[in-house]
Amino acid sequence: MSIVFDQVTKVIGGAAVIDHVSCRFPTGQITGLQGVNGSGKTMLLRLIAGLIYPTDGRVVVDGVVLGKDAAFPPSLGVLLEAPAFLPSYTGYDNLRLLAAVKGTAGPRDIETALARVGLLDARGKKYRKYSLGMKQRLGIAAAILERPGLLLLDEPTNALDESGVELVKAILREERDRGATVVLASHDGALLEDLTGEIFSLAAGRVTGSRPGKGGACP
Amino acid sequence: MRLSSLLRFDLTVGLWRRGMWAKYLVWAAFLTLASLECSVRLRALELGPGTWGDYLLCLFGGMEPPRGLFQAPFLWLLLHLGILFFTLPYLRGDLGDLGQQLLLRAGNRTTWWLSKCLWNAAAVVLFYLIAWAAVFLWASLRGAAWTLAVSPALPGLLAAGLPQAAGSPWGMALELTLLPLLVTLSLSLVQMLLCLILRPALSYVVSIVVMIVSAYCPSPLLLGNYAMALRSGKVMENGVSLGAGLLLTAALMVLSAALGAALFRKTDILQKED
Repeated sequence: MSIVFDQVTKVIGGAAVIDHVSCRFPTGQITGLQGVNGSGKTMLLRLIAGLIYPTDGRVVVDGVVLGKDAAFPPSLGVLLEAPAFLPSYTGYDNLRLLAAVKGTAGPRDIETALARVGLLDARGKKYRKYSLGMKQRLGIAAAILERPGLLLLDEPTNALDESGVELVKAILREERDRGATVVLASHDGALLEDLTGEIFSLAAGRVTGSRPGKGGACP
Repeated sequence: MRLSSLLRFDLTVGLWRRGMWAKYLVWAAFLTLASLECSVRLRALELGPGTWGDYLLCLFGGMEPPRGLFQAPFLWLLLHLGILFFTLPYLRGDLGDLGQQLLLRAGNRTTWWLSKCLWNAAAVVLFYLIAWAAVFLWASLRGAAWTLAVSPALPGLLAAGLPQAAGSPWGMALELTLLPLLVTLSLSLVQMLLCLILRPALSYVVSIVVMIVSAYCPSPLLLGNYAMALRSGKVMENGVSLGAGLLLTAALMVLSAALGAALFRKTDILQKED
């Protein structure tokens, strides 16, 4: 699923949080976004997700102009900032509620997603009893649940221990190898270097440069 | 269109979880106290045990047009503003948790918005059903007659200068039940629409202002007047009519849903900290 930013500017509260960004995210690759807090990483992900629309310019996902031709990308998995679920529901039930909207993922898919993030044994536990790391894992499970063509992840390794970080890396590689386009925002330069094919650097809402990572898909 | 699956979520999780049970319980307790206050008032008026309709008139009657010093009808205000307070946080709250994920999966902002409108309607109806159940239960325990007919002398006793209720015994049933419900519902939808552009607290302030100004000014253009049975054309000259109330509330509901859908299509969905 290709993503093209064409002279995109987003103004919120009179300030440009994204400022004349033009770039292309390659299909079937993991692309990284790196930058300090407030550099615009999350806003860029929100623009791709269709949660906000550009003040100027266009975001085109798979030939579809967001906010004009469609509200959201057609096949999307998202983890933006802190995951948010219903505290009084179990991890399994939260995913079941999400799966019910599209109807494409059944009980087995939910269990598979939970197993991939290491939460299968905690599927019957209420979300409010999850640790921060477990909440993060459930957020990732929700993002990959329906095997989306486009995966947007914002700091997915937040609150995860070392084994959790390795698990996330493995999942992202599997998703890329399955053909998904992945955009990953992180402070962690080493993580981005390791996983991504290309890394965009952001500062003050602008893309200030790009460099290749070591994690490009195998030809 | 994934309206049915979104609606299923809103009408199950949205109506029964997220602290809604606590709200229903608080509401039922408040209505029980309000009914107690009504029975004391009816007893003071020496009308005997009264009827269900009498209790509803005590609660939803509002006040006659103010003459001299304005005294806000607190019980009437609390009834409407209570429901509006309970329905206020749902939209933003939902967008802050699972709702955002549901919206992305639904793939359509209009569908998501319509589902919220229908949730709003269901929630207001539920709060009214609880209110009526509490009132009728309490009134029955106090020996009130099981009828929505109002004792003919009551409007004049509640508001000096008003004549006796005219027409059939059931003549005011819709003014006592349907119109208050529709007024709360339409205002709740307007409030939800305003939540797209204002902070929820400010939207609520708008609702408060609309209701207080309505109580102060007996104009057919002010929505709250239709929720006051004591300002009905059936009990006062130049009072508001049922038909106008139905038209105004229907127009507000349709307009809020349509404007909200158009606005929500362009609304930025951000986290609180953004």
